[in-house]
Amino acid sequence: MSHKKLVSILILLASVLRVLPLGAVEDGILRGKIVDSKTGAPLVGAFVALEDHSAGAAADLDGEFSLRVAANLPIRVEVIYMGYQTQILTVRNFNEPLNVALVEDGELLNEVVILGYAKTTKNAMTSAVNTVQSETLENIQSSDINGKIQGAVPGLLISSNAGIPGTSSMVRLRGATSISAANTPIYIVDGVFVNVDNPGRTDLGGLAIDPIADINPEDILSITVLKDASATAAYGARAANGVIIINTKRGSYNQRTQINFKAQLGLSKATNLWELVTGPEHAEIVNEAWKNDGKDWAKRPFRPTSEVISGSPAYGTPEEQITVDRLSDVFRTALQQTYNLSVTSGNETTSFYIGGEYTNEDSTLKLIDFERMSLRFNLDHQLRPSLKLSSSNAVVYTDRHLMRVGDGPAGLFQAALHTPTFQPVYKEDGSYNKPVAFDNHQGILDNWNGGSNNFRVTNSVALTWDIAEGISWKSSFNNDRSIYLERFYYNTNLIYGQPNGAGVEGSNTSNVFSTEHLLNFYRSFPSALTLSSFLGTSYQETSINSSYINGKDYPSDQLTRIVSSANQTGTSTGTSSSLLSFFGGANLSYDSRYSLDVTLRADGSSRVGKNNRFGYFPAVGGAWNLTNEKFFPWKQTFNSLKLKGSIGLGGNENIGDFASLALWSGGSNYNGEAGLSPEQLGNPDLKWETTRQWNIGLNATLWHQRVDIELNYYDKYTYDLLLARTVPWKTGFKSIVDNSGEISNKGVEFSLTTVNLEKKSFSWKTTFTLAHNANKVEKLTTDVSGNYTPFKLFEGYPLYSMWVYKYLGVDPQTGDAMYEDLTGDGKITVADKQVVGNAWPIVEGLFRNTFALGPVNIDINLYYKYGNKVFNYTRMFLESGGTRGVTRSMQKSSVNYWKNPGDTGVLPRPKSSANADGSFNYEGQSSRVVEDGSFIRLKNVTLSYVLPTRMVQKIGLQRATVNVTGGNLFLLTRYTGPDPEVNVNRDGVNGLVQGMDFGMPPQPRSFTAGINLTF
Amino acid sequence: MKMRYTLLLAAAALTLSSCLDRVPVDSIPADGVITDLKSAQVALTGAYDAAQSFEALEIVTLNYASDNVILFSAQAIVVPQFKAAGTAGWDPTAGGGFDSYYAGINQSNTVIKYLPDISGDETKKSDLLAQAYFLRALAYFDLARTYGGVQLVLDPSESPDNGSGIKKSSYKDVLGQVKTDLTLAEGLFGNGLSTKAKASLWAVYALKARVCLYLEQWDEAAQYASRVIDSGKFSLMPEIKDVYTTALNAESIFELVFSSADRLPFFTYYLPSDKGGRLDYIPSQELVGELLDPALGGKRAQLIRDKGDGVYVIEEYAKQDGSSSIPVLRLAEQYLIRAEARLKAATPDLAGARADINVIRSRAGLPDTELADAASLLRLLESERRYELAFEAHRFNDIVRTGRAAEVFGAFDPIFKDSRYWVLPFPNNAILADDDLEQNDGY
Repeated sequence: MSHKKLVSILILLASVLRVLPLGAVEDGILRGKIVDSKTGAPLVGAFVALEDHSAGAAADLDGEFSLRVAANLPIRVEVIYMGYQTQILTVRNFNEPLNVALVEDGELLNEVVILGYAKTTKNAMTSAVNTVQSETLENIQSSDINGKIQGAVPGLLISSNAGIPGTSSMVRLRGATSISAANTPIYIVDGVFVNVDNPGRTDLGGLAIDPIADINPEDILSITVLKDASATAAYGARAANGVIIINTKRGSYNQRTQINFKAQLGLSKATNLWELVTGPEHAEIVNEAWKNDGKDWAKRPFRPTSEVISGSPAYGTPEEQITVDRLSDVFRTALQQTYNLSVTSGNETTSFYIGGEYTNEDSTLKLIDFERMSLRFNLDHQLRPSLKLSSSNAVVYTDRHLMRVGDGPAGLFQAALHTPTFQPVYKEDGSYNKPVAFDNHQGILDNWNGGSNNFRVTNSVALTWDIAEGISWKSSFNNDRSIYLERFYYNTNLIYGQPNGAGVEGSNTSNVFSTEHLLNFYRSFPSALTLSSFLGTSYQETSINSSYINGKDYPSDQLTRIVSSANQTGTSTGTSSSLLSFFGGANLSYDSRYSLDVTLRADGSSRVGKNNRFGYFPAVGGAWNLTNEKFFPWKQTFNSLKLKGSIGLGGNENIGDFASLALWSGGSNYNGEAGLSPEQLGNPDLKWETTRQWNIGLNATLWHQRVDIELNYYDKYTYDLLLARTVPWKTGFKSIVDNSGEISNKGVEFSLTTVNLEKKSFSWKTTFTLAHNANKVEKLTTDVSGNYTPFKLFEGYPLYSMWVYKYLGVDPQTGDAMYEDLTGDGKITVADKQVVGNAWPIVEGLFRNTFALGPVNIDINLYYKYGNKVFNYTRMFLESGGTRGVTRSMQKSSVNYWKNPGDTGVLPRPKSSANADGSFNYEGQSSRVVEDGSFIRLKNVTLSYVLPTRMVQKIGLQRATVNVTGGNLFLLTRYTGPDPEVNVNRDGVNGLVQGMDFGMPPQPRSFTAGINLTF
Repeated sequence: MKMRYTLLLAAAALTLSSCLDRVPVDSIPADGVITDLKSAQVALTGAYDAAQSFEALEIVTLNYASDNVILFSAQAIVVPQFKAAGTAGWDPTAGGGFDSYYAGINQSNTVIKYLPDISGDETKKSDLLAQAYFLRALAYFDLARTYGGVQLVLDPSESPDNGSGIKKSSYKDVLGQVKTDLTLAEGLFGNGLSTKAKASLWAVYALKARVCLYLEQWDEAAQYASRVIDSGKFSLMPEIKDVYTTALNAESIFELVFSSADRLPFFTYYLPSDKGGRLDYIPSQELVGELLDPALGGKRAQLIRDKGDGVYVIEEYAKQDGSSSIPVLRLAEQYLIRAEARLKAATPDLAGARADINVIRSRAGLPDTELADAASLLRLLESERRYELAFEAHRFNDIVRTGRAAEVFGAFDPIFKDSRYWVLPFPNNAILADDDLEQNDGY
């Protein structure tokens, strides 16, 4: 029985039951519980019906049902649940509860699933797709979905950039296919493309606002990740980096009203912070460097203050130096709280979901927090039996206090970490001491005033018309609008507020309108042939407008809005793009054994050159279910064994909106007059990046579905890379965007789910995932430099490669650093720099165990990454061997430098002048600070307890759960910084900089307690 | 019904198709930018904007290249460390402003190519054209003194292949081209001086005097400097601090002006954090010592300031709102040019040179020099240039062009004894991007 049929019968049944008076004969009430045979989990919504379909009832959240029966005993009942084998049972006694354990219907799983645009059966799927259900996300504490699904989908690499809520992560599905266009997958929420571009303009020193945090994870029903070409081809020009489809919760017809309340309260703390040198140690090292540089000893910085030399300040003797701890001033134990209230209900023609949420998370770094209020309203209404109106709506307001974190003089974290420890916080007159390039950390804490808020509305209205059996038409109109406002005020105590205060206020509005029209055809033929196909068109228009005003010179630190400032300047600009698409596809499956998918999409984009406006993206996939073959010998062992393969193309058009045009732009003004300047050279032939991907995979379920294995191998090859190709600088331009360069990604993904133990009162389930990706730049016309010199792109090496001098340790005789002399010319020059590693892990994944002990559930989730390198830029600054004199702090390890001939395992002797070979002891671009970033993190341990039903029912509840979660309880790593999973967001134009630790706070350790109540 | 729907869909598809042509709101198509006097004027304003960028980079780069300015975070004179890819320590000038000179040159080239074809007032056209020649000359002059010989591109770039095949010209030839452009500008300018914020006939004379000095054409250098000095249009400000506190002052011949809306970024480089900067650079301890010495620096100690803890910072360009000017050409330099030219001329004019030097010393509150031999006067002149023009990007080239780099800079690092290191390397990426460009010898 197809799912569709089943549902329509259920609907019919339910409505009939409502209409017919049942009161005539009342023989009794049948009660019971329906659970999954394997896990014992309640099967919510499972249906119990008399065999003659004269009465029926659905199971509630606990899987419990009660059914009024007007018939004489014994009766026969059917227990039906989607994806499970239907059971028919005989009831002889109403007093005995009917407890049913349904067996999942692995072999005959012909449930119709909607995969992007296509309707297909799970059995007929030819592609590599992973779905994460909301239950899996429940125990992981994160205010955004990226944090929740980290590791859960093999091949989807998510690296949190900083331990700060609401800020961006690096997300890469099956490697990276692009250098200058985006590498993040596209997100589709309830069928609507979601804009995830950072709306902020104020430089937060490596932090970026993440619009994905606009989605309340509690509203999510499931997340489906489309990985291979066969699955993603329907998304054409934007498919190269994969597609993440998010479906939010909806009501179902004939459902009793359910109210769910959930509250979580947590505390978090940054641990394992840097240890810095004491003041005397700092002085000692700097003087040592002074000596080793052969400079005039009389002028050494740390000498008695009585020894005055004009132009050469004296800071006192080393012993006189004080030691100030700034780091503990800027961190705090942070509070997180989140409350969710949702209502789900439905009658025979209308169903809805309403979810409201309030989240407030403080960052462990002071001055930063994240607040979100969201409301979602999803409605389905049957206008006619064949005409359904669906609407999905969300209103989200986020409010953030923001602080510049990393790079740059005004950053709080920089000020606290890099200001030398021997410097006092205040000057003698009580004012903030700002001896070096940084602002005063206490001054920032006392005076910072800035943040942003974002108001976002997404609406979608769709009309589905079931034209005939198996044929339906769906038209949808969608809208995603957000208004982002940013406001910073710098008073006169801050660097940016010099001399008389400064302020900036700006707005960024983003509008994405899209409409989609889709014709679906689905039919099973008597000859065991099933055909499913779709044909559609869509149009999307994006426009972004921003305006910013700056104010300078305020009459008072009390007045913080621009209106009070004496000098006001402003700017506004905008951009727009559009995408017109046509797509179609068909799946043909025969006898649940063979399945074939064909998809084609044509995309026209305003972003590409006039001569190449439309791109075509075909894909084909096939699957073979061996267990359904007569000859298959191990039918006892295998519940299913499926081989699948696919090949196809996907595109990437995520470049600037006008990269193909030759332009002059305004704004190049002089002396109060408006000027125009050449902006870029044109390229009318500019086109998409195209990624060819093939995938072969295997799905197996064994031993009564106690073991589930999925294995995929993929090979992606991207060509026509959109690349800022360098042009001779003598032209007055440095680059032109064109299609050159090629990148490959090859990888393996493996997931294993096992039910290790399954007893009535105890069960143990394990999930293990492993993903490996090898990335390589196959072709590049010229090397491309990242915004930070150690990151450079070469043909033959992966993206995110680190290009530095190879450090060979310290010469035990001289105490000077040795570097590998590649050219063998006795000199260390740029030609000796080499690639020593990259930011890609060799493998990454998770190892998760869940235990059910009666009402107690334990979830232990380990996340691991192995083989990735981190460029520890923070250590480069902190371990500078006195070369930064009095200007920067040092970390404790700096004291362990070479002192006597024969010393080994030490840092080079402090010295800033060049060695004989031209190298420097504390060269910044050295493999000395390229570290192994492998780690195992205990991402979460959750303990939850389901309160006894009888107890909670007394207070009017259906179900109550309490839980406690510990997040990031331990971290196993050889990395010397606090956390290897920090990654500064400093991509700039060329996305080459990943795996760089530069002034980001580490992931905090957290404890959260929560309750979950269902009424 | 269905028919109508199909038609509607087809119509919609057509409309949507045209929606794929989007136009930017803040840019215009590159072809046909210059069509009349107004658009030529606008393009020329863009060229001044480009000059603001490259002159700013020029000053930061060459100041740091010399022994006058050091990185605060490195606290050492690191003159030779012009590794093309940057090196230890954070230096925004690694590689210099190579690309921004050519951006400016391309802009001037566009004006020079299209201006003659438009119709309009001929005097106005000549004036605009002369300014374009001047700005191109300025860019090539700075390129030459930073990198030595560079590629001479004289046509606007409308495709990435423009200038393909053009190799480096020699240092002398580049300066020759600069002189040619200045001579063209000289013929086109009227002798008015409406604003010192823009190029004028006087700016042409002043720059020509400097170029001739670099070309060791002593008589011409003195002659052009005299034209400026004797014009009566310029006079020294009473104190050196007036030069950088007062925009468009009497001493200025040509300066690039900035405002709080169009800011000179130097305040972030040179000011300490309590004044809103990040103090990337400070004056070297040697220079500080000499400027503070009443017998050497005199009142030129005004150029620096103790930030309160014994660390001296650069006071020139210190306007916190970014409105400090870049004094590209000012009268004091013309006296020093003429003094040098007079000393080095075939028949030296010692008295004239001494008088010129004393004009500058007297403004600094120093007694007149009584030195009577050319060699001593030249050594004094070198110091006077060092203090008087301390942060205006002269020191590095003064030492290099007078052949003193091995001695002066070599004292800080022996690598400077090798004359190959008396020019900066081209940025690595510029070499990689252009088959016609060869890295300077030694790098």
